[in-house]
Amino acid sequence: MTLATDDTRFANLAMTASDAADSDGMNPEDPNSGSLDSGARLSPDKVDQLYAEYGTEVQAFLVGVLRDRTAAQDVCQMTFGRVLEAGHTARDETIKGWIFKVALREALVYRRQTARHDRHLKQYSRDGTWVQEAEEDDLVRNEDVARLRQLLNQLPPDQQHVVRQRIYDGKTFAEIAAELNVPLGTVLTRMRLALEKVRKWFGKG
Amino acid sequence: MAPNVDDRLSWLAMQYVLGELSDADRDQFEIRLADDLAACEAVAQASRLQLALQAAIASSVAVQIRAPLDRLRQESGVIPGLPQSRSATGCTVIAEEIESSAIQPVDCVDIKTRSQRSWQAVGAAVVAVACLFMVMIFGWRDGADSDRSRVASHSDQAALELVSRWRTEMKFTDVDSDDLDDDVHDNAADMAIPAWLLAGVSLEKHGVVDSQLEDLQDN
Repeated sequence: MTLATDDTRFANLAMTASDAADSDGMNPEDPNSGSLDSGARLSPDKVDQLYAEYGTEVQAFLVGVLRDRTAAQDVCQMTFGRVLEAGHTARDETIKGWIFKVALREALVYRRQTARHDRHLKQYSRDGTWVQEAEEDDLVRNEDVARLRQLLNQLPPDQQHVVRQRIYDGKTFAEIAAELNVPLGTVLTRMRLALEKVRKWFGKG
Repeated sequence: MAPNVDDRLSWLAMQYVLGELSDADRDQFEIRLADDLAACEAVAQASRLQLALQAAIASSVAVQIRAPLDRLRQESGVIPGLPQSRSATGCTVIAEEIESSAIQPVDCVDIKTRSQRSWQAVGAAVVAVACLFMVMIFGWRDGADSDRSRVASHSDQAALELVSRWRTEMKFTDVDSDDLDDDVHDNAADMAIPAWLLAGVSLEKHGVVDSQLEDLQDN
């Protein structure tokens, strides 16, 4: 896919996110314009409260979109900067959805600007650097890691193997299927069943 | 039993986070993200789960590597307070070198299949047995050498005692090479046949009576 095609695709997606944000009962003015009266803005304490409530989840969301912890932190800061500027235009009952929309838009713009580094980001995750960075912030807690280790050992061996190969070794499902000489659907099923069990066990704890 | 909506959305979000969706599916899902808070929350949950799984697998891999090396160190055994043989120390050094090379940064560790893990266990067991074998060999050889040296010293002592006793009984003296000629003459003097022996032989030959022989012996 050429860069021009990427630019078009990213622009369309960013426009879609922006349209969705604008249609959420907010002020028709562009929240990013920064032309609103400063007195109408949310207070810093209010923004801090919103960050304490949603910041970790927003950052995890951005990690999933960008697959880059550092970029996710940067975009998260930009997102809450927008919240400070234009958060007052959203209704309280939909502020969370509004924040996520802004986060998605910022992430897509960021990805558009760094499109040529996507391949490097995938290699970055294969090297296991995410494991090292997981210890540095509050997206992963130590007690969760210990509990997950026990849960993984309770999985059937074939599901354990697929989870380890995909999550830790960074192999694609197609590569795992080729190594095991099984259909791709079998590998996907094993992974899906394993994740369902882990999510259920984890949710009970 | 068909997966419920939550499970389907969670699975879709995990595929998105892992980058396993096709380009078209990814674009479609991102359009959905712009308007679906539940989808955004599913992505956030999938992202955190993936990070936690990575950390959990990494920590379990580190435990699996350390356990056999700890056993190997115990078997090659440095027992405090006792003299250490070189072979036991060598096994300890080998175990530490294996550990230092094996305990790598977790991103370098490769997860093996079950058969490969079993071969790793077999290899570790072979190394442990080889170290024990070396301890036994060097320990036996050290013991045998000390026994032989003890026997040799005992034999030497006994031999010296025999030689000294023999010399005393036989009254042998050490011969100096410079005095060889004198010794030859002395020996020759010592080897001279005494006159009474010759006389006795000649008297007997000439029929001398026994009484005369007695007289000669008295003299």
